[in-house]
Amino acid sequence: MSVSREDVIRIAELARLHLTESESKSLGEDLNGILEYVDAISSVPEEMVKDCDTIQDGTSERRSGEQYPDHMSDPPSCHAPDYREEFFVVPSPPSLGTDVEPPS
Amino acid sequence: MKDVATIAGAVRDGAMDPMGPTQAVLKSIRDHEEGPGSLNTFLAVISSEDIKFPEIDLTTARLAGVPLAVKDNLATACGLPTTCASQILKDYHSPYEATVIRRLREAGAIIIGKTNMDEFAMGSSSENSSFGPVRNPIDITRVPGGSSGGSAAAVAAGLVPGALGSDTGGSVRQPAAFCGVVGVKPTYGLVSRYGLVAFASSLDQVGTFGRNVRDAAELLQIISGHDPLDSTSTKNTVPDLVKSCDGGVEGLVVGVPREYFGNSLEKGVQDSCRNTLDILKKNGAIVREVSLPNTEYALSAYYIIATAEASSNLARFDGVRYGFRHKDCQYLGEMYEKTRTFGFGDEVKRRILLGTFALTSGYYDRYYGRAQRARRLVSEDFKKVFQDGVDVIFTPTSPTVAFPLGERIEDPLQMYLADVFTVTANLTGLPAISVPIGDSDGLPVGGQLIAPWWGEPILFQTATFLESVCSCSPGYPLLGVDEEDAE
Repeated sequence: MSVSREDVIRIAELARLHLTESESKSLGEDLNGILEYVDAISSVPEEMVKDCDTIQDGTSERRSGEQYPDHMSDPPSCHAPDYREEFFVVPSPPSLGTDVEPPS
Repeated sequence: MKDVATIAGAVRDGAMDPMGPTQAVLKSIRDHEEGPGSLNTFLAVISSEDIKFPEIDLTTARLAGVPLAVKDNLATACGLPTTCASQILKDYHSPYEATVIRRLREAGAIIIGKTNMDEFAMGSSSENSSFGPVRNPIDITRVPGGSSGGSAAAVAAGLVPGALGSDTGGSVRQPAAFCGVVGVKPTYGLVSRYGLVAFASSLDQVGTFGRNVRDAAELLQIISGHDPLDSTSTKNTVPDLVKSCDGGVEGLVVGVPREYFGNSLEKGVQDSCRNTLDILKKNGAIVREVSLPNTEYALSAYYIIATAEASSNLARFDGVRYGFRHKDCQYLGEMYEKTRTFGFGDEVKRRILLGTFALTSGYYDRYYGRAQRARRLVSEDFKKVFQDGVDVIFTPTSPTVAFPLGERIEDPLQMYLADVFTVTANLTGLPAISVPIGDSDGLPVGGQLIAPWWGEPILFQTATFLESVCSCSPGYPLLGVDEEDAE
């Protein structure tokens, strides 16, 4: 298995990362080296494995999924880059253009 | 540097000023962590004025007045930032604290600082920090291991008596081995992950470092136990881990997996392991060769599962709710991309890309699906060995001793191979410990013990014995406070 430079650029788009030409080249080489190594798992026999959901011995007990309150010592405005009127403010999507004004 | 038990005992009895150990540790860090010889172990340290003593009865507190360091991926809300050694969280202060931090404070400990690490715990050398690499206190030209290298180095140097780290593929045990200290990764679910910044959620566990086995057990005792804030935290009763340190190895069945003793092992590591097995035999343990045949898949499965989970977990770092946001952005998508591109370092990007690739529709079954099957097979191997009567498994912690700074940083695959013996405990959720068993040309060698699920007592029992009999004093300098200073 090997990935092309185009594959690397596509994966980077999915991961919301921008790569320069030299980065996509060097990361592509890294990924190909790693993929060559991890391809060892292609020989894992499929029929031998039925249940992949649990790996421990079944003695663990999980909670039922209740909700618990957050114990926040500070409001979001203390750590958000831009927080106004109880909203996280971000730039507009391209489809709306740049003339959409955030609340002041 | 006194150990955890001695400091806590002296403070409880009133023989030591409760602030004394912390003041001495802070002075020692100031003296030794500045200038060209700095180990770069700490990213943030509390100031003397900010020390807040927990409002508890110190005459009964298990960790009364014990100064501790914690890895910088554990959320602290006591004035210390939580950066994960990343530009994307530079200056970030968490609005809540991790359960393990709360439990340490409530036991009387004082969190004196946040330790340096590989960015988002991704690395095996602590060179991937945005704030510079950590150096090994035994030989500052070498790495301390990773990703919890700052915690391991701080304990090894005697700057603190104990510390917390996180272990996703060996990130507590491997640096413990490289620095000549004790490091424990508990059974998955024993310790709450609430407030641990997630790397790979099905593999991550908080672990403890100590200068001896008993201290590592004491810290683990305090942080263990059910936490309703972590859905993977179990309700199992936590046994007395410190008490389990008593007892020898007579009649203990020690499994030695042949797959862990191949050609990749450095001679010095191999010699220390052979010597340790001889000592175990001479003291009444039954040493039995065993096979874990699916070990060959473990590292591949680990690097697919860990990166897949990382690519998902790190999607939250986009500049919207917290952390760094790139200012020069016209549109939303551009903000995401620029924020993440400038905020993440090379190794984090590499792993996000690998994980994203493994989860894409065309390759999901080929990589992620097979990795999950391999994980199950590895787990079945261990289960069978323990069902066949083996009490504990012994392996080297790492194939090599601490390697020189910069030696592997340009070769990610070589770096990943440093985890080849430790990832199985994370894939299976089994508890494991690294304990010093000797040295090779003055550099420490760590031996790894792996026990059945919830078998921490047998780990501590066996490790305490090894600690008492193995020759492992490489003679490294201790930078920490003298006993007189602490009083």
